[in-house]
Amino acid sequence: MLLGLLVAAAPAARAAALAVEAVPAWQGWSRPGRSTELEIRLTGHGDAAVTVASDVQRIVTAVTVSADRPARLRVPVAAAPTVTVSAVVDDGPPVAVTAALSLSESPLLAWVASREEPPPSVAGFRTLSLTPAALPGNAAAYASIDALVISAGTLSALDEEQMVALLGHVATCGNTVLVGADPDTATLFAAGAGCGGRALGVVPDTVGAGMAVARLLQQSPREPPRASSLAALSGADFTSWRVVLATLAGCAALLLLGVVFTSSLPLLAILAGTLALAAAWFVQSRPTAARLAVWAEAGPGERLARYGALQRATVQQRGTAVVDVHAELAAPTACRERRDATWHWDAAQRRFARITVPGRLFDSVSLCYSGSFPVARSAAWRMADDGRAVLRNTGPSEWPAGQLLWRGTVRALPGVAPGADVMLATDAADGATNAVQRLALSRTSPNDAALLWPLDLGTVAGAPAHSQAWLLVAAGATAAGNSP
Amino acid sequence: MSTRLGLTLGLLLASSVATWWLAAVRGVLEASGDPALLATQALFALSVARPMVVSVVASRAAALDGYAAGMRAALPVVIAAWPLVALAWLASADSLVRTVAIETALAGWALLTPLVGHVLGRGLRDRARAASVATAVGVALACAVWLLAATWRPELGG
Repeated sequence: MLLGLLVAAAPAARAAALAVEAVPAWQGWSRPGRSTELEIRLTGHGDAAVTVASDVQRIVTAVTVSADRPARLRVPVAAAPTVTVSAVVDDGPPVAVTAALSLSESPLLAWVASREEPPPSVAGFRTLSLTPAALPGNAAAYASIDALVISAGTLSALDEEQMVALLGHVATCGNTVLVGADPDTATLFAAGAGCGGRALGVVPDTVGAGMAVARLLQQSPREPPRASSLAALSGADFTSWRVVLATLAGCAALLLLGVVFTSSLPLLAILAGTLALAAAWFVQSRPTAARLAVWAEAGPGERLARYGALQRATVQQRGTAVVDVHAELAAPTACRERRDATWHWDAAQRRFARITVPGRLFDSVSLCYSGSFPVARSAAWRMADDGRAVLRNTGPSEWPAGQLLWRGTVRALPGVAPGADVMLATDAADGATNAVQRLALSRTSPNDAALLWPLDLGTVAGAPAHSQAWLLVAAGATAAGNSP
Repeated sequence: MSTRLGLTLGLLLASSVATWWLAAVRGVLEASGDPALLATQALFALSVARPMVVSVVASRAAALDGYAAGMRAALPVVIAAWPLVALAWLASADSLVRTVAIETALAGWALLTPLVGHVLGRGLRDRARAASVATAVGVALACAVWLLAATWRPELGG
């Protein structure tokens, strides 16, 4: 009997040992429709299945917890008034905690410094005075705030994840003001800043921080194209539609053929039933069709190109459909809100690994990505003495063949060596003839030149066959007669 | 002959619904919308149109040539759409139980409505008159189906 009691008490003891704590980034502040982060701390023993659920999102993950090594997860979550974290170890009962988030309608200014320094004030902004511990470890969670002012003295208090996330935020043109940074730190941030550093301010003390933020906010860094624009690049996927059309036509033909040979009602009923099952099986047996479109842009002289990517998977099956998230692309989000989706967080790799949805025929799952990558190509154009426009390769590497956009026209661009010139002319040029060129022209100033190249997606593991990637580099204008 | 007539009618009906469904789905796919609602609408249209056709065809055929002829004309109207029903169900949010239940009910309707024509054919000695009355009764049954369709109408939005 004693043994029985011990056996019965064992799961209860394990469950009692399991403790869950959920701490939101930014001291719980975020904005409606944005992303934030939850730091989940688990103590206990065993393999824990963790679920993060809110009105707008559901995330699941698994982590091993040992008594001497508590688990800590930083998971990006969609902002919602309340987010519930539940965990269960083995067969024990679930343990749940709820984190309340404050969703601000006003833009948020995050001020990270030691407690002694007064926060800067920017009109119309709600200022959050934070300690370094409140900063997120995922760059995507910086979407919660609209501007960040951080004292360089607090950088040393950031852990590796937080520092990588902060640099990722700076690289994707997040409005950031660095206060009191030494030259080395300032150079490090400037080198990794996106949008040519226009979203990064460096000031010596907090007195100028407010002005610096106001100055940054006056600029509006251009965002990568929206998902709808990227969808237009590859067009709609009608593969499953054609399969269904052909299947239905085949079934109708076979039924007509059947009625020619027999008027037996049982035979025709068996034929119709068999065709229905075969049609369903045939359509269901086809794999999920996927497409990926990546569009990257770099302004004149910028060393980082910002990209937006759209991954579309057309589901063929009724039942749970799994869409793998591309590890090489940053900040995956659902392009359209899907409350029936479950995101699977890989705790070891600290990224979303896949998304599952209750799939249906013709259903599609669209994931949007955004991020930046280094780019070495740059160009400048000028008006030469003879009145003609000249484009020069000002980058360190040779341009591959691509397309040249100039004054609303598109023409082929041959490979150009570093330092070499290309004459700009509208003769022998055409207007946009496809969606890619139309998008490129729409994102190029009519009086400026830009270059468009296809990108190789070979580095993106599992990129579908119907993938395409493009890089648009704007050429900077220099004064007439000057060498660029 | 009744079976072939029924199957032809069933295929015509299913083809019409399939044409509308696929055309609408194509438009929704171009607009990156959700086509699940269209599939549910297609299933509902099939669940209403088939018993309406069955009501008329089965009662008339049974009044003229007896119950078996009516049943042979009515059941193919239902079964000809099964491949379309299967594919529309794959694309819809309807449950399998509900879809199977509706198909079973339709088959039951195709077995019951010939009884009406059969009774009328027996009661009215004049074949032409029996056929006319049975057709009128079939039309009345079709109208009843139309009016009662709201009872199994799913949430179609809009």
